[in-house]
Amino acid sequence: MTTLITIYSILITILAYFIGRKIYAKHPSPFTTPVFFSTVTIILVLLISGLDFNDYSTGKDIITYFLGPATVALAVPLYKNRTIIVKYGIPAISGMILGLTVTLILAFVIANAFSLPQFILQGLAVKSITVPIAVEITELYGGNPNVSAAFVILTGVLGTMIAPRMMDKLNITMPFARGIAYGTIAHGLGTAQAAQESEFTGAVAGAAMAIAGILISCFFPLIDNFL
Amino acid sequence: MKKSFTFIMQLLMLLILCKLGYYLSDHLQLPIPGNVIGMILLFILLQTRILKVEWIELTSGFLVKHLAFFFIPISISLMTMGWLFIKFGLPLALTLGVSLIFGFIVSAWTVQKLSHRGEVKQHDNAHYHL
Repeated sequence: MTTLITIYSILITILAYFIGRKIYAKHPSPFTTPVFFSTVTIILVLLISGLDFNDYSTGKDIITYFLGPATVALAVPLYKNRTIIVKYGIPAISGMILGLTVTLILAFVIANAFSLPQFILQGLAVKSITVPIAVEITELYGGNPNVSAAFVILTGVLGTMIAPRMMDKLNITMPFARGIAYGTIAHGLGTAQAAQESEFTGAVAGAAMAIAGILISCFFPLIDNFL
Repeated sequence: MKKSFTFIMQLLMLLILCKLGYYLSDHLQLPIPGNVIGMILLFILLQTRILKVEWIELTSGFLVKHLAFFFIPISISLMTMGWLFIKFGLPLALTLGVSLIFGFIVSAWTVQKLSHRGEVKQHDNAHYHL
């Protein structure tokens, strides 16, 4: 029975994702972004099937196991675009460092203004980097990995929902700049969104996400001092 | 058939690099997570031409293209985090939303401005290819 539930969980996840992609391609809107659509659909299907998160968790572990190799695979877009990234290295790294600094300082300032507890601040510190890296860092520094993962996902989903139209309005049209921002601030979900815009934007976002992950990993001892 | 064999072999290669990354991270007590070390290792292997990009491209391309898929189960775990949002919903929404919007603007705007400044005069159209 448990095996059946696991297979069922994996199948509904794959199905929801592919339907989500199809719908988004036809009707792009903040509410049809594949991850948002799939999440809502799967939660509803689980509830209708009388299942809870515990039943789903074995399927979840199997799928997320592949986030490890998927993270390693990011070396490929990084490698393929190394010439252009090196050529525009200074603008790219400035944008990444400034973007990460602004998003982290704002998050800490607002969280402090509401006197949110310490475990939330720890989660916020990694909210812009991809889940596998964020979870690892939180575990290394003794935070709550579930809270971190929740913030990372929310940041990614919000990013793919808000950012495309916002950047259009602000006349940020350069695919290289958009790719860097997607990857730096909205990690894997941003990268997926960037890839919908163009293959090049997606590759740049993948590289930016990888570099942002490395930057935050390396500077985390420093960030940790502010928590 | 041949394609699925190639896919699985490349996936194994990525898994081995990932495991190796975790092993190095543990044993050298590096502050960087194992999967990032795995990524750096793969980059070095590609850069030094020990590994050709064609040998890893099929599976890597697939995983990167469908990266969003692997996040879906994690976002399902939000269904267990109701307490967090009931307790801190509005402040959290503000914190995440505002910091996200300004992070995006600053990051994208900085890259766009700095790349234009150097390029725009010499090669009028060069940056449109970017």
